[in-house]
Amino acid sequence: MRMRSDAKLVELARRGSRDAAAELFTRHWRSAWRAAYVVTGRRELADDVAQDAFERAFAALGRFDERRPFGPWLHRIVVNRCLDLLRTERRLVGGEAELERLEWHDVPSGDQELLDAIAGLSLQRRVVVVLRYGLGYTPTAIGELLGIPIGTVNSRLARALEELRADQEVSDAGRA
Amino acid sequence: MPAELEQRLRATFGRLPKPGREVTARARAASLGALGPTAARRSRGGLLILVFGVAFLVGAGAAALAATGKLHVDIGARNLSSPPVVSRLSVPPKTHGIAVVAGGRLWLATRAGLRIEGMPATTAELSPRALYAVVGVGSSLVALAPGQRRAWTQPTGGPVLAAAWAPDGLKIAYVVRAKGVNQLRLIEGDGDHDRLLDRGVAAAKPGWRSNSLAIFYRTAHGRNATFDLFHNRRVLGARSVPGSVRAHARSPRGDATAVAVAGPHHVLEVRIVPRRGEPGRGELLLRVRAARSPVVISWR
Repeated sequence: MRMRSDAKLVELARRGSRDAAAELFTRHWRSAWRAAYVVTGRRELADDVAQDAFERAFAALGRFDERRPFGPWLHRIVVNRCLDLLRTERRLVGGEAELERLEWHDVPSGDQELLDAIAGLSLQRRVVVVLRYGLGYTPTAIGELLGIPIGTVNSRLARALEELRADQEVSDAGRA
Repeated sequence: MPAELEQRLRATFGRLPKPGREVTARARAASLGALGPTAARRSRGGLLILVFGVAFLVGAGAAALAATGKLHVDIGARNLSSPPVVSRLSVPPKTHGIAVVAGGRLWLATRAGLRIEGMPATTAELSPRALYAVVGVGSSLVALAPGQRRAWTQPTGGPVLAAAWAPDGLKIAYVVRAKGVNQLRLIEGDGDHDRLLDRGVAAAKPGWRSNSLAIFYRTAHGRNATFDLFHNRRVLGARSVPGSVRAHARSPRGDATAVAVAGPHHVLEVRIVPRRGEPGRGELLLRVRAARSPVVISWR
């Protein structure tokens, strides 16, 4: 059976098909959750953010422009929810109180180092790294998704990679 | 080197764990429950016709079988699907704001413009008229001013379990878990003069006398106690029995009560208790997943 496109599923879901909505959920849930996991660094927050993003997306499906792709729209909601949550937390806690430790459960130790380094990036850089390497968006698509110029996307990516590389070199030197 | 790092990033993302099954099932149910009214109405309409048709056929068949004495009907518990999750807290009418902490998260909304959704926190309390809020974050008590500005932070040496703002708005009594015991402490509304009142108290929200001169609380042994601020002394009362409701709060005018009641599957519901003679279970304000962590409601 031919796989139905996101656009078709959105159309059917808007007309009342719960099966179509469920298929959209299944198709995008894992990627949305993983993006939230890397941006927030906490499994519980990822659970809430990804669920909340889907609820908001489905509740607003009637207002969704069907000519646009569903994935980027959903991922923008995920990213915005992550940013809202983390910025609020940072504003409240500042540097004075101890933040919850990052939790990389079920992740190989080699990957944990890299994920820790990603978590050390600024929120803006962390988000473009997740969108580029976690979700596979092109810099142009990231620019459209975040509403920023492509030059800004490229510079954030370049600086993020620079930071990650430096971090990796420090880790390698530490092991040597 | 850049290409190598990029490859490593892609591989790391590819190896990330999956979301839990229970989480996925809950999110799926909640998301489908959030579908727009058109979708819900149409599918419900179709379902209704189907159910009606099936009921008619079954009924007709059952009547025929029952007449011949060959039918035994056994009605068991209904298998209800999980209820939709309400994740956006709304301020109840004619009040200034409401804050709920459940499952280690804070939901807070005030008419003055404070809004927090799902932030990790141990407790929260709104000031009279909900202009300010104090929130337990990590090992600190944080006061928020309108516009979500941080007014002050008091390091507490442990998680703040509960807080109660005095009716005059000038003082806050709070319970903190520090050095292995729960302490009852008092701090001025501007973050000054933090002091210990009692140690070995229960992890429950203290109450205030209406003149702001006494604090009611429970000791670790379950006894009611009063701290008289005017005479600076503690008075112990009779043994009390904790109720089944996880948390409750009176409305600012004292004419309504919001309660947090734990349901199955760690789902916690916050509702306004219906007045005498009112039908139903009361207006649902929030439904969240919350394990056995403390629950707090503050309503102004």
